[in-house]
Amino acid sequence: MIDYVFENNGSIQYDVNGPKIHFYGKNYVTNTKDYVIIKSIYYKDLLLNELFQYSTMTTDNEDYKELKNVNYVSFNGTWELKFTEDDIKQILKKKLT
Amino acid sequence: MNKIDNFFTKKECDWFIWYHSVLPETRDNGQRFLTMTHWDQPFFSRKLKQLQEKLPSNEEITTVNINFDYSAGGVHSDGYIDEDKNIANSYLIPISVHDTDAYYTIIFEQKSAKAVTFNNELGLGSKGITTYQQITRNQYGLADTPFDKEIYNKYLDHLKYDALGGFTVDCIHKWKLGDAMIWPRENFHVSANFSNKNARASVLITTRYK
Repeated sequence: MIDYVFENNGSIQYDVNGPKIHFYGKNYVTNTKDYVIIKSIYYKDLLLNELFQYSTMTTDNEDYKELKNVNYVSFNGTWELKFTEDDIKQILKKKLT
Repeated sequence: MNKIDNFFTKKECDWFIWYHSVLPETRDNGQRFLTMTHWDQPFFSRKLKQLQEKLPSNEEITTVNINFDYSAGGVHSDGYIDEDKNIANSYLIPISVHDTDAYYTIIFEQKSAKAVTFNNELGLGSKGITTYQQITRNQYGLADTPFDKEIYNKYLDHLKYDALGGFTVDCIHKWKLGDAMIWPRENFHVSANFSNKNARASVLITTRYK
């Protein structure tokens, strides 16, 4: 129902579970520059990158524990989308009117 | 004339009904609620690719509409609006049908490469007209040969009988969920009359030759 296109620049691994993506495996000492870009979000086969604004990420970094509107991932943690069908309607309305 | 069984799975039929429900605009043209799919928008690209892959490789999509019919329409062709010498086929795929009802689409032998309709002369006035031009029997040059009475009584009693004179039937398609009914866009066609007015929906795909 939801799927993504990733660009992985380094050793970060990820597990996708619908609206949640668990990022892990980054070594902050040896692989400081590793990152993943979530390039696209498809909801029911529609390309709706506007859904990024409904994303949050909790990380293992004390300074950036809670992030919003995330498509660039450089920390281990859990990225999550929370939206409703009404949000989809609003996104499409904005695109088409 | 042709058909493709299982053009859409049940899941794909349901997808279009869902998609209709999240789009911001649907138009009531007097016979149906018509929703443009915005098939040429980037956000639809994956779906467009899936649709294109179901079609012959020498055809490309020119229209994808979702229709929720509440009334049977008039005789028309799905020809060009702006002149196009490469119009190809219409694909009509039922995505919702009433379990106990039967629906039919009648394809005629007569043709028009331009999108035109006889709705006014058939007694429907301007109902069902979105962009198609109304023409008269005289303008088209239809003969006065009486239309097949048996077919009229069985399928087309929502139209004026005399206005169908000169039309000859090429094929009668029976609707089946997910199966694509196919005919050349230039062939005139019409929906048979039907009951259960709020039960049926379809996707119409038109194509042109590349």
